[in-house]
Amino acid sequence: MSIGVTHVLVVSALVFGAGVYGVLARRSLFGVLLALQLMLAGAEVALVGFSRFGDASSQPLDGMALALLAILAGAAEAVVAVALVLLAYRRHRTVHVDELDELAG
Amino acid sequence: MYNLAWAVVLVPLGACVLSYLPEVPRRAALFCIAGTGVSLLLSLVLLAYRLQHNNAAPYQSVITFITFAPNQDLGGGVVGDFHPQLGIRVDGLSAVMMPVVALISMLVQIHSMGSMRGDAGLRRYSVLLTLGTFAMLAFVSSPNYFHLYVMWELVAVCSWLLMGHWWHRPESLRAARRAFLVTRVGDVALLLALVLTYVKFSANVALLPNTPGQDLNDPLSFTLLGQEWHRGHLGAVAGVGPRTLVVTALLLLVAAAVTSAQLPVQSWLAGTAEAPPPAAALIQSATVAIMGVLLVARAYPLFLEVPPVLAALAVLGALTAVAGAVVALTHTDMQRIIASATSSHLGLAFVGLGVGALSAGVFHLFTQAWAVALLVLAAANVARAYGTRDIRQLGGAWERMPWTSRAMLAGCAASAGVVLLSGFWSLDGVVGGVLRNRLPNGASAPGLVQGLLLVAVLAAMGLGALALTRLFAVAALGAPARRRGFQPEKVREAPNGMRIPLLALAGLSAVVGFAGIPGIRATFGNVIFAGATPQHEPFSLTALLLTALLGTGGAAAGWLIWARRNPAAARLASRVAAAVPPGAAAAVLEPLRTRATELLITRPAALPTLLERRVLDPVTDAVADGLEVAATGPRRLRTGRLSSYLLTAVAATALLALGVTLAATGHLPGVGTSR
Amino acid sequence: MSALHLLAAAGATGATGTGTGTTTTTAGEFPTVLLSALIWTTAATMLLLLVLPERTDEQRGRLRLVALAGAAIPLLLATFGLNYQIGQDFIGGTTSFEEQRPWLTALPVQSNYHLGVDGISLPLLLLSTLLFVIAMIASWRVVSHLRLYLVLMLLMETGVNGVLCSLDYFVLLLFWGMQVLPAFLLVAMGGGARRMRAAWRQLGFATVGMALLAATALLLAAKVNASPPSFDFVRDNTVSLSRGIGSLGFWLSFLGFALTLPVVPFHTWARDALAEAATPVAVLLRGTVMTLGGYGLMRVTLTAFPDASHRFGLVMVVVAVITALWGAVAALGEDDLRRLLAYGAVGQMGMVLLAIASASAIALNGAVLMLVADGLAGALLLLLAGVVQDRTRTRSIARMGGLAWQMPKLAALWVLGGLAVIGLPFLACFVAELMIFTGSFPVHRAATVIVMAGTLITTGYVLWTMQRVFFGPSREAFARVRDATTLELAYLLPLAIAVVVLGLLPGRVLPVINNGVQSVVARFTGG
Repeated sequence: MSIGVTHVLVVSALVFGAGVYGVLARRSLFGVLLALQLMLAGAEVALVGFSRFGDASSQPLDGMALALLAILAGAAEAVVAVALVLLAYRRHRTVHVDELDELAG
Repeated sequence: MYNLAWAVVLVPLGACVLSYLPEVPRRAALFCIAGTGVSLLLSLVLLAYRLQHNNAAPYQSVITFITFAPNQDLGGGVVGDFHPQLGIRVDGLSAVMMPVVALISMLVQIHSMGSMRGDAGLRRYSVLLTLGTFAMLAFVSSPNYFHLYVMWELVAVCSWLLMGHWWHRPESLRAARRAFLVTRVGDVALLLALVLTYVKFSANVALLPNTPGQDLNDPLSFTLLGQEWHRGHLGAVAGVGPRTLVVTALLLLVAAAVTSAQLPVQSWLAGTAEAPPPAAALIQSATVAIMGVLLVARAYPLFLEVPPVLAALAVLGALTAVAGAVVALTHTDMQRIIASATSSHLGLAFVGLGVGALSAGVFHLFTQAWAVALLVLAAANVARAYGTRDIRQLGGAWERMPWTSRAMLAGCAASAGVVLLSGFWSLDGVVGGVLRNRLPNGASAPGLVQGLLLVAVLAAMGLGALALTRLFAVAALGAPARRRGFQPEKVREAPNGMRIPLLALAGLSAVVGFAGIPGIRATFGNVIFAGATPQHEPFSLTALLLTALLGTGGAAAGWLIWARRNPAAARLASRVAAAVPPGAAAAVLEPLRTRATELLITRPAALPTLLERRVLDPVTDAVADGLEVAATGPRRLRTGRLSSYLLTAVAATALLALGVTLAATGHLPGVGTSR
Repeated sequence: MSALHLLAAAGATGATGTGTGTTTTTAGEFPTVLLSALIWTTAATMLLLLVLPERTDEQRGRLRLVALAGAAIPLLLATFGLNYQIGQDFIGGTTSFEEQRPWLTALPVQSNYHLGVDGISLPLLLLSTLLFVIAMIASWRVVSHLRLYLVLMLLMETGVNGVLCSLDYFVLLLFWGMQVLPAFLLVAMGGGARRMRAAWRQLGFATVGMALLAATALLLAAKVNASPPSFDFVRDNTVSLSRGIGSLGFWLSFLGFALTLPVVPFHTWARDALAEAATPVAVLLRGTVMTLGGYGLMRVTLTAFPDASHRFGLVMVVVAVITALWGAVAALGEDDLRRLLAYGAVGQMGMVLLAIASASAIALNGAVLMLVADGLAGALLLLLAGVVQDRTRTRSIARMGGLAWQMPKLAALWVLGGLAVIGLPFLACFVAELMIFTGSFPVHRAATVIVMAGTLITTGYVLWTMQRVFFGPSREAFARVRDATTLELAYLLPLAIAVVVLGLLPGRVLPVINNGVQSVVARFTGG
């Protein structure tokens, strides 16, 4: 059986779904962040997959380049997010998402 | 030559501006006096010129203040352009009144140099006097009702500021506020009359051929309106009927009566007692108080078309004349006595106008102006020397202040109408007018009204003479009452600066009446009635005798009672006075006035705030509260928990993705298939 | 359409303007960016301020100078515009300095970035820009949250000027919204103890007014028979609407603008906001925001719904009479100096509404003049009240008295302002009042007479207030208060001079105003 775009997408969806579950289920902000990265990874997998199996005649490297960009953006985002989490911890002495309800005003 | 009137009017205004140049306030006052003096000289030249060309048509020169040409039919009845004009008009009335105003103002200012010496606000005071003079000069030489209204307001404001000159004294403030509010009623009536006139007549005036020398017709010009009113009376102006004329005339009547201190608001004039005395003299004799009479004289063509209104004017004037004289008898404050007498004399002038004796009415104004100014200034000198205005505490001025008291005597006698002095001649004209009772156009008041007028005028003359004699006799003769801290021997004659104006005024009030000797009065009438139809006011022996009898008789009776202290006369007087206790009347009136103030001003003024507190604010708040309550349900969704937000976001994204998928695959009806 | 296309189209139409209806353009003689420059200068200044620091006094001084410069440029431009207009010979109903660029062409309802001024908006624009400069100077001593304060003020100016220049309902709504929030925040930022309440109340009324305006605009866009439908004034304001739609539109717009004017019973926001806000902010609310209400009534209610305005003229007249009397009477009974002035302002607006209700050319000219004149005189009085309040530490008139001993200059200015408000000849409001009365008398006789009688009450409260605050015996408590400082004179004197100049030379601006009023009146007479 040859590996096709469907398989790649299934993997991507699984990774993404795991990320979504993590984001919703984790109680620690760090956990949420990790899960967020997982969601991002799922999307990147899909990008690479499309690039590999799609119509590669015109722009063969577009998907790869986009995936690389996404990884980079994800890394940057993670840095900022961790900084925010640290700040939140300093202020509230907790990283437990249920205890951070400042948005309720 | 006639354009000299521009200079007459504007020189005092220039003096006002220039008087801010010198450092010393006294020098500023001198600037003002000089300006008024120049204006006086020019106005005399103008008068002389006018007298030589007495029958020429009135001269006028105008500038347009604003031009408003709507370019189209506005609908709603107003057609025509709106271009109020400012300017000058030289005719008999203005040529005669301008020197009067300027001269009295100058004498008053000279007096002020002495009596206001050392006052902290001397510069402001002088400027206001001169500004008032400017406004009054412009008022008497106004070519149309817009200009007249503008200057009317300026005069009123200047007099308000002058009355409130001593703004740290509450009684001054109260009097000033009262005077201004009362005259403001007149302003509004005049403004309404002006608006009404414009609305009714502008369309018709626009159709007329242009006045020579002007590129547009001013619907408010005296010259044009004189003819227009007549045509309106004849029914030749569309939209103008008798009602329009009556309403306009009534509005002008209200404005005139209120400003010239007629019933029922006559007492605002007495408030000038709280003003600096020279300013009071100016207000009573040459500015605000005489504006009403001059207004009626200006609008005489209108009043002639509506004889009933004219009769009402005469009756009002007669009632005020009697009331003023009676009140003058009851006051003990010198200035208030004089103010009440002034109001009485203005009433007599209105009677003259009301019965058709226009020139007699204006002539009375003319003769009284000097006497009133003289009396106010003399009383000011006396009050300054004695430190009080209460006549019961005065006395002995005849010996100690010879000049002032003799001038005062001249003023009292002239104003009371003692034979051959100025008041006599003008009162004679008014009495003659009442006896004749014929308007220039032939109409006349009913006999009953005529009888009432005659009785009232005679009574007012007699009582007025009595009151003025009382003033003089009690204030100047006898010995001063003993008071703590008052040394009669220290009373001195006023300094020169305060004496010379008195002497000038005394001389004038003695001789100025000769311009109105029967037979010669026709000349005065000629001057006032510029144009082709001089008013004919024939000599009447009855009138002359009645005037002589009552004026001189009243004065003589007063002399008996208060100067000679004739026991019988004094007893009679005190019995009459006891029958009409003024104190009791005041005691009844005062609570009534308080109650009226409460009902008319205090209560209504609290009403809007009350309504807001009870109705508007609660309703607004209730709406806001309702919104807040309505928002509590949705607010529960706002938990602040990250996880719940994320869940919502994920669910929403999933739904969106589902929708997009369905749409893209054509499973969603109506969407996506059209492409 | 790509951005490049948009730009190209803008260049093409911007140079020529439209030629629709009575609209002409002055392109070629004038850069058509005048109004854009006028509006957006303040916004640009605001952005500049955002990046400037405000830590030291020196830095704050720089902020103030920059903000003042940003507010002064629109004033210069507006003066220039009005001056240019005065020199023009008019045919009637022209709009000048017009700019039009396609903007939201992809929407179902088209909206253009369409600006232009005429005789109604130009004098008001001059008033608004002048008052913002005055307010900037009057705020010179503000220290706390200075940058935010200045930014909000400039943003508000952008909104106000934008409303006055808009010829497109969508653009107008955007600008209208742009001044609502800054006004709210400015009221909330400083002032009296109960300012939060006042601010919320003001925001509430402003929001409702804004919603009503949006509804009006949508109604017009929906009902206009244009293809594609647009928000353009020129098109929307010249259609004939059916009776029902006309009535609906009239009510929506009348309520929306009357809330802002304000009229009784919707005046409570003005009463509270003018009393509680910091003085410069109160001046802006009175002189610009309230003016927008009067402007809108003329520009939208009368122009777009002439038949309905005629039909419901009586309603407007009744409201006008009630407002005029209510304001004056309430002022007579008020002890709080600032609230008294607020009531007085409401009363004056009753006069404006009377003129609008009568819709005759003279009265409308008077109304525009009145908005300007009363804006100036009212601003002068409010600023003076602010200084007095600053010195005496109270707003209660009963606790003041004899202040002219210590502050003769302020007393003199107050007398000038008071006399202007009661309509003394040769001061600002006189000609306006005269024209309003002359114009409305033939249309609504009884109402005019009542309002004229109401001016007596105005005289009463003005005089009484003046005397209770400034005159009378000297008070020990105020023995040490100072007269006007140079800074205070710097913003009071220009206003006083403006009051006198406008009173002496109203004839200079009247032709310009009349030119704008013609387009409103033409709708009434079917021209």
